[in-house]
Amino acid sequence: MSNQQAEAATTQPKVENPRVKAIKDFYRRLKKNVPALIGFYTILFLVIFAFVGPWILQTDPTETDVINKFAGPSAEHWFGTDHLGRDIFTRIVHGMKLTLGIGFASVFMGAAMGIPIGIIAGYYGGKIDAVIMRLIDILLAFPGILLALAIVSILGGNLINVTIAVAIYAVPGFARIIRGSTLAAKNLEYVDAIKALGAGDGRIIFKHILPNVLSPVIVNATLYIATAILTAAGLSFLGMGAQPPRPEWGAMLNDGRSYMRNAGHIAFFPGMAIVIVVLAFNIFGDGLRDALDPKMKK
Amino acid sequence: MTVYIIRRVLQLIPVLLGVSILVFSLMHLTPGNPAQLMAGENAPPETIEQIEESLGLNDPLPVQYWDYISGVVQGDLGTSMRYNTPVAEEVFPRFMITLELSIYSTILSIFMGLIAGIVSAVRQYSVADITIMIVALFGLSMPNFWLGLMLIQWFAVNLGWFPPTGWEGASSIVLPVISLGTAGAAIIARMTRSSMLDVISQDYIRTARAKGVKQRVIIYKHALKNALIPVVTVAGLQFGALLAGAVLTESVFAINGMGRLLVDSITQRDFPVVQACILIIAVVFVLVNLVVDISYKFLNKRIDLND
Repeated sequence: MSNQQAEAATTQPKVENPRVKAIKDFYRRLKKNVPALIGFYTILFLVIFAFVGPWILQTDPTETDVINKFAGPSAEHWFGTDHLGRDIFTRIVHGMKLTLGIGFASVFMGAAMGIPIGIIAGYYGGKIDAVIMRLIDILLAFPGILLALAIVSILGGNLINVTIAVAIYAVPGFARIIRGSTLAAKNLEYVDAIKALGAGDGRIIFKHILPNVLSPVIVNATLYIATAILTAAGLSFLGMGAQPPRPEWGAMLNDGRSYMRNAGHIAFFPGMAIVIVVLAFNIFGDGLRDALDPKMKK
Repeated sequence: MTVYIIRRVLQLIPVLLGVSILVFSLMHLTPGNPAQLMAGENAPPETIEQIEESLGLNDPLPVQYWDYISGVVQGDLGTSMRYNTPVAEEVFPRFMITLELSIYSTILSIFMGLIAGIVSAVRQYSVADITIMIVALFGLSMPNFWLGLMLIQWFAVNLGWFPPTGWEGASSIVLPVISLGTAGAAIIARMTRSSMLDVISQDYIRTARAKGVKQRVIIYKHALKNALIPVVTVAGLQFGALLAGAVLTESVFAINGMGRLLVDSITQRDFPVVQACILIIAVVFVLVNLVVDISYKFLNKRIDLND
């Protein structure tokens, strides 16, 4: 140990901000989870690529080329062309922004609605809780894509409505998880202590409950983005989401399904793109859960 | 036990009521007048008034809801706007097809998921475990409609082993069932693995090992029984997800089930049929969950008594 280091160690006792310490601690554990890191960097790459990609390619995703329609993958058209001769690679690159946008936006909206509902139910308990939870039960009675489908059938099919539908479908999940964590956090002794010191509900909720329930929210949100992307692609595949000629991946799959017999690549590549994006979020979400799970702390 | 079952059944009532109110409001939240939709765009106002009167659209909402729900309880799901036939006649045969598809897919999910999950847990960190978990992650991340299209491409178009579409005869159900059941199998495999690993690390398993009980007996007799409990819940939830997911699979394989009927009716704005399909799926899902909850309690209780 050099003199300087020794000096630093003795003269500056480390008083680290607990929140900074928690983040460092979390990052240390995340780093040990190799798949999670791969997921994280893949997502990062995809997000950057979604914005930079179209600018690098400088090609038009809606440009048709009737002579070259149904062309298989080649040096010129990496993923081939579709039934209108549009370059599939270009369309996938342009569609990335839509797919990620729907995923992030719907989960953000779902969390923005679900978190307050869950906190109110968990924190106030009693009748409020009972009423909220019964309403949540009703929403949960519509499994899988069904709730989103019902909402889109009311609102009409376009990308914004799909995002809203998927967001609403996310609300019960968030509310339930947050309620559970709030119940646990509410009964911590220090919450009793600050209550005794005269802290108001608002202060307790925002300064003490919310930070405690954030880690399940983050894990849930990450995994939910995967589900949201799949659901939105499914709605577009059914013709209830993105309308042509938008290069949304689910809609591209829908275009390709009629040509499975002689041009399977039209449906193959957009589907592969969905798999890669969803896989990245699933792997990262799994890793986050392991890293944030207090039981896994060593 | 009986008290528990009665309590759970009573708890269903508000949920079912809420579900029916939500489904009922579907038609009323939609922009546009249903009578106008039924009569067509150029219909004279008298016809529309007549339809409004016959549908009871001029009554106050609670009265309309009451008419609707008392009809539903008696099996009257309304009249299809498109075919002008009773909705129940339209929906029921197609519901049976969807139910069949969902049941086969659920069986496949449970069967594949359990085997894969057990192998993974017993040989934790082996090549088999890692392979299974990677495959499961892919299964989880694949859109079932895309998987369906790829199966058609490989096994129907290229190899000609199975028919590409339809729902007639044993060979036609193979591809749709794989397409719909894969995600569920992946979820159940992951759940079984983590649940088994949880149980295996418990004291009583260590005690059994120390006593010299054979590995096979430990795994299948002691560990699996307890590990199954959370798996049962997931399997129940999966069944519901598959019922809804069938919407996509049926569309891919051109199967004339309820899912396809639902999608067609949404596109054609045939709301009584849409309402009926959504209501049926939700009610079946709620009932399946009830059965799962009760069997869960039953499994738990037996374990409490024996161990």
